[in-house]
Formats: sequence, C-alpha cells, structure tokens
Amino acid sequence: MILEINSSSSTPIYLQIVEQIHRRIARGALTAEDPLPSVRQLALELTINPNTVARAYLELEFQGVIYKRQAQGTYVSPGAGEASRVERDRMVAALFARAISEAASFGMTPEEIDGVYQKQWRAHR
Amino acid sequence: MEGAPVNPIEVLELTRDFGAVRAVDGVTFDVRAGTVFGLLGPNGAGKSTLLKLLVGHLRPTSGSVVVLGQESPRPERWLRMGYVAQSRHLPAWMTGEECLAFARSLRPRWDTAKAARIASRLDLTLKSRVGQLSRGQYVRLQLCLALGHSPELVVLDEPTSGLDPAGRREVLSLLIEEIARDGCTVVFSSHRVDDIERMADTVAILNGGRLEAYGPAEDPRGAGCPEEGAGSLERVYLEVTQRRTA
Repeated sequence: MILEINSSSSTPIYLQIVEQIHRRIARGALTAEDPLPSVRQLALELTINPNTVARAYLELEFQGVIYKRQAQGTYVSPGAGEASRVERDRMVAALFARAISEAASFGMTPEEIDGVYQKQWRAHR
Repeated sequence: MEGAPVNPIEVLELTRDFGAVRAVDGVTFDVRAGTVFGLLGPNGAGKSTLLKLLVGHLRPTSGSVVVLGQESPRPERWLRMGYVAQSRHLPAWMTGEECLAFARSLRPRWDTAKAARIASRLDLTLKSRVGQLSRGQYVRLQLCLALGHSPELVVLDEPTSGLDPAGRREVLSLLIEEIARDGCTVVFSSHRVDDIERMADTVAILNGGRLEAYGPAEDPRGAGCPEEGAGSLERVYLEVTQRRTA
C-alpha cells in the first residue's frame, strides 16, 4: 500500500493516514475484507513512529472503517464504503464552504461562483 | 496507588550550571512508557546536557531526574538502558568487533544474534578501528552497542545528524523496529523538525536551556485543542526559536 506523508503539512501525520485510507476506500481502490499492512510494516514503509500508525488504525476502527481479526491482522470493514463516502462528503463540503465564504467576502453572487465552478471543473477534466 | 508503575523518566525543575553559564534552566517533563519523546532545539540549546543528565553522565545543579524509578545512577539501571552519544567516547584503538565483545561482557542480557543482525543490516565494518570510522559508521556502531541488550529505555543524542538521506532512513527504520518491540521507551534529540515529527509521540522544544514548548506531537504547545494549521510543529519551532534570538 503506497501512502504518502507530507511532513510540511499542518495536518498531523495520523490524520494524513486516516484521510488517505478513506480516499482509497471511497474511490474503490480498497474494498471490504481487503487486508491492511501491519502497524510495524506501514511504520517502516513510511519511516514513522509505529504508535502513530496504531493511532490512525484506532481512529479508523472507531469510525467503523476497518476491523481487527484476532491474531490475523486488520481488514477493511464490510460497511467501510458507506462510512468513507460520508467522510468524503464531509471533507468536500468543508472545502466548498471555505471557498464560498471567501468568494462571498469579495462580494461574488451565487451565479458568479457557479460560473467559476463550471470553468474549474472543465479545466480539471 | 501503592506500587503503581512510575513513568520511565520524571524530570522536575532540573537545572545545570557550568560555571556562570546555565545550560539547562528549570526544566520539568515526564516520558511515558512505550512512547517516543522527541527533543527539538537549535545548536547550543542544551539538548546534549539534558540527555547527559538523563543517562547520569552529569549531575544536576538543582532539581531532580528520576530514571527507571531511580534518582541516582546505579550500574543496575545502566544495564536497562542504551545510550547513543553525539561525541566520540569509544576508544579509538578498539575495533568494532572488540567494542561489541566488551559490551557483551558487561551486559548479562546481551543478545549476540541481535547485535550481529543489526550490524549486518547497517552494513557495519566491524574489522576497522573506531578511530578510522566515518561519522555514519560510528553512529551505526553506537546503535549496535545501545540496542544489543534490548533495553527498556534508549536515549539518542542527534542520531541522524551528519548522515546522508539513506543513512538517516536506515537509522530511523532501526528505531522503528525497537519501538514496535513491547515496552521500549525512546528519547531522542534532533535539530531537524521532520525527524521529530515523524518519530515522536511527545515533543519538547528546548531553547537557551529552557523548555519553550512541551506537548503531543500534533499539539506541541499542549494547548489541548490543536487548531488546524496553528499547531504545526515547524511553525511553533520557528516562533519559539526566533522569539529568543530576536
């Protein structure tokens, strides 16, 4: 599993792991019952503290995205797709909310904002 | 609670003077078992002095240092610890092999197979004399000596300084394996924010002998509410160190 840690980011490392696993599940790169690397394995791969990986896994377990099988390892939960889509919607909604409040502070109308959105979406594609 | 386990390190109002110079100034912190404590600070901040006080190579001028439940350093405590110093203290005339044999003779819990495993993994040239080792090779030898008896507490003074990126990664990977071992507590210092951020559970920033920040890695000021962006370790570090020199 290739995750990337950005050490100049203001997002704590454990949250970067949580977000990236959500992203993978939301777009179908990880699906129910897929195994995740062990804490030690992922820590070595990313050169980070194993406690940080353990914390990210605990957070994901708490959200119902992954689960531990006794002495077998960690797997993606059957309900993970749903949970990750909820998380995805939350993250994207927060980004739009920030962009909209910026735009509103410049006095843009909803129509103007929509125009920017359409233009950016075309540029992205 | 009677007989409750204490933290492996408890430091209270610790001060150390060298003549008129106060190198460590009223420092207080704890290190919890099984965690990684990262000590960050610019050159000359007092990091090495603080670590020497922890391992018992220096005595406090005032205040207290309790390590593995003991206030004064005893040989028994030393056997439960590993230390990687920044300065060159190993005898220059010994070969790496002789250093390892010496460590084995002093430490009842020495694991020859483990030491050999670390040496081969780090590509350590054991036939050379200590005096001929490069900085990178010297650090590798020290790591081998510090970890060969699987200590409860490992103290490392700038283990990655002077290493190339591949060497840094090697050293950090070795530490990760030690941390993943049950119950191993790690204290290490660095002037590199990214090393500390990747490795530490708890961060302390030392500047001019004083602890300027102390808290979880994602909330170095210990404010209890890591605001997004405001808690970035790099930002806190720059603020803290520039305030002093300004």
